[in-house]
Amino acid sequence: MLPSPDNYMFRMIYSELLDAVGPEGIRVDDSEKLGHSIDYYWMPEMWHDRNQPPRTPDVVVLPDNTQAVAKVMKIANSYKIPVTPWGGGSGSQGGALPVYGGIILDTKRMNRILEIDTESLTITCETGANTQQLEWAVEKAGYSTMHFPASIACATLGGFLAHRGTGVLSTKYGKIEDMVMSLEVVTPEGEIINTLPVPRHASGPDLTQLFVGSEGTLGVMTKVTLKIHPIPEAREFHAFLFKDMHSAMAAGRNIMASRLRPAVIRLYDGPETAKLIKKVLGIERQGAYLVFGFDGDKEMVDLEMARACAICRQENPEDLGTEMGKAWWDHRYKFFYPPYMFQLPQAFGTLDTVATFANIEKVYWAMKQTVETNFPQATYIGHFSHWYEWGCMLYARFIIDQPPADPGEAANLYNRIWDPPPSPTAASSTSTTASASSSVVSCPSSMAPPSTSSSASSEPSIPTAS
Amino acid sequence: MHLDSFLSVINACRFCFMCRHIDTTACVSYKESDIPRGRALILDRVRMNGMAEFERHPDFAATLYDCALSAACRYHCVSNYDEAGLVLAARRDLVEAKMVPADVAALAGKLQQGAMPGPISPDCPAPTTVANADIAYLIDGYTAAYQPEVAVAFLKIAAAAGLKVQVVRPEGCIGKALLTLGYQAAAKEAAAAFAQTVRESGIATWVTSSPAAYDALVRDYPELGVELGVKVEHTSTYLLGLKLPLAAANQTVYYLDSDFLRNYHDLTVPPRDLLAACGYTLRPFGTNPEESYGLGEGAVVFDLLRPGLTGKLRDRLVGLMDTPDDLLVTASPYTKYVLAKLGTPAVRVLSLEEAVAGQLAR
Ligand SMILES: Cc1cc2nc3c(=O)[nH]c(=O)nc-3n(C[C@H](O)[C@H](O)[C@H](O)COP(=O)(O)OP(=O)(O)OC[C@H]3O[C@@H](n4cnc5c(N)ncnc54)[C@H](O)[C@@H]3O)c2cc1C
Ligand code: SF4
Repeated sequence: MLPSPDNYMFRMIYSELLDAVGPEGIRVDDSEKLGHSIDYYWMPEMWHDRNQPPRTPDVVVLPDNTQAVAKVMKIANSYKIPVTPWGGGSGSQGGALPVYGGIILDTKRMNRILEIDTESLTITCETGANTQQLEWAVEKAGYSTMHFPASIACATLGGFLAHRGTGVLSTKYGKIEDMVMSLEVVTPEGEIINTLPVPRHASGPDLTQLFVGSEGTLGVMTKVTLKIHPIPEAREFHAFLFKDMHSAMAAGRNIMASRLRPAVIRLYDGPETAKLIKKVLGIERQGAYLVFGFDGDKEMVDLEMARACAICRQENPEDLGTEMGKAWWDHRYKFFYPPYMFQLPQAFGTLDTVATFANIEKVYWAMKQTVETNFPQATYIGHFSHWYEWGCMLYARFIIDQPPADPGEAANLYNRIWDPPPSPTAASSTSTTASASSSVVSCPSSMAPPSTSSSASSEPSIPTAS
Repeated sequence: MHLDSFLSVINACRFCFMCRHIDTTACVSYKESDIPRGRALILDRVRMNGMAEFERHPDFAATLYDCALSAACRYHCVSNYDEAGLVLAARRDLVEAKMVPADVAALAGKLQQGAMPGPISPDCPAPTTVANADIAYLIDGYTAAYQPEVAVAFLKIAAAAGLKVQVVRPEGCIGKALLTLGYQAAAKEAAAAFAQTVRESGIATWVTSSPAAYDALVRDYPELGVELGVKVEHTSTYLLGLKLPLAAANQTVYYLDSDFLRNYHDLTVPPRDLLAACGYTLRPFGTNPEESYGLGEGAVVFDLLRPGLTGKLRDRLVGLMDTPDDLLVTASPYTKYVLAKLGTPAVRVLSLEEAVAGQLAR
């Protein structure tokens, strides 16, 4: 935390920062502090909604080049001031929040495209680039990043790198960690390092991958080289409605096991099919909605599509055709706009979880049971959105329509849902969770943050159905 | 408070980032408070804690006036939440609470005294009184002061089409600029005065080159309860309806959508059809069809209120040109003024009227 503005030390540090980033790059106005006090995490949103004072940074800096970032880090280091990188603030787990006050280092002014290498099909750019603006620029040059997350318009490239972000077409084109070639990073001490220019090496550990997913804790990523792709001749979709999630999962798994290369597969569970899909696509049916798409040369796409459809038909689903598949693609971002997205007063959280095919359904049911049994006021819904040869990602959500009005109580309830079952009774009743979660390969770091677990442990134990 | 009637917008926008990439001001300021989410967060605090919040945080009000009001975000939003309307409501609250920032009050004072964006150009066509005129042609402040060639071009086209035109050049704000600054009562007064001129003219069709003036007469006046009783058209739709003797242009141009025409009236096709009818080859400008290239047009007098931001918007636009020689066409005299007269490097830019007049068969 910085000394308060009426302390001459604040003035001294301020002028050093000013020197580092220039007058355009430093802000202490309340509007900006407020804007940086809330990201896409439910907790600060609820805190604001309940009219509680925001936890703001002391200073927001917006360096416009790597050297300036390095200077800021050196200043912060010598005064021991916390620095929190901020891209678009669209992270849903509070990673960019200035929980310790101090400096928010907003990267958005570092948004230049430095090179498009049309021979190697790579792009080098600064990490503060808004990903939609970047995609538009790359498309204008005749290529695509193929990184289409729902927050493409909200977030920066640095945020995706720091969060191991995933776009809709990840099944074919990979997650951000598969797209990245190399990085420039400013370390917490203010050193500038460049990782090796290519992601495949004969020996040694992979420094690039160390920083990917580090959530701003190991340094500020300032530059990145990413793969880009030619714009495919054809991109087609097909949708089916299965009688239940299990048969839809079998179809999806078989598509992957057949080693076809869909660009995307998405499977919605029963409740999400009934709720969200109905709201956005207007399909009023019971069952599990599965959509997939292929892209590339038309001939290949037609062939792969026919094979994938044949695999699905083995489970006797209702064929919704290409139209309902295309409609999903066209509306893929619509789910995330108000009023389609969950919003306060509802409490909601997202529990991204990756597991093998052998375990993913167990994870789903275990989580569902844990949430719905321990928190009868909560609804649990989910979809499976990123598919690999060996498994997929469950994007599960819990929703509470009427959380407590008191902000403290609301926060406690919310944290308890994230926490592991607190009592031995709960642990045994949710053994499926315990066994399945051992195969979980990624979950948000804040699923059980130390501070929230300790506060939750002082709460009365949660009633469970034993 | 007027902003109370925008509660649904506050609730939708305050935690939403989905249009941040095209907020006009934020694209050059990079401020979290300059996207609809940031403004909604500020106004949510005001809603909860009252107008005193503006006293506690003096920069809140200034932030609301940094908004370029392009309405690109509303146009983009799948539910079309009226983020621009929310800002206008809050500005109105500030004016009524006498809490408006000093620079805004000073500008509004000048507008109320009849000041124009600048002194009227000697080249601007003078007002006329024409018996049995087919149309009245309304010249806005920016055309009168800085872009007289827009009006000259329109009159040339009208003459070629054999139209009898009465030129109307109001001396001062017809309400639009005052309204966008939040001065509703003063705007209504100015609108009522101008509406009387319109009614007294007895001319049934009014045409203007200014999308801002068009929006004022078509959208604001009815909302202010000011009746006109005439048909109002922007030149893009009006000229498209004329049978003009045109020689095919052999030029490639980039059409810059007007904030008012596209984001407030969904008029994207007529200007393009008009250029195509003149034989121009149209190329899409920039990297995307969504952001605003109006340079503050939606805020009507943005160059006067926020010259620094206006300059940055211009720089951004210039940076998005394919080549420095590109020929741009705009339907907005304001945008043309900022591009042609404010800042460097020089940019080749025509108004729609000039683009059409240049193709009239000799
Ligand atoms: C509507 C919506 C839909 C979403 N959909 C998706 C989706 O489809 N896929 C997906 O992966 N995510 C999604 N997210 C989550 C979010 O967009 C991602 O986590 C994204 O990566 C965050 O990027 P940001 O620039 O907003 O980062 P921020 O929220 O600003 O920061 C996130 C973390 O990264 C750190 N950080 C930011 N920039 C840097 C940098 N340059 N160097 C080092 N650390 C840095 C921050 O300190 C913080 O810890 C969605 C969010 C929203 C609001
Ligand atoms: S205008 Fe629409 S997209 Fe933009 S912040 Fe508001 S709700 Fe979100």
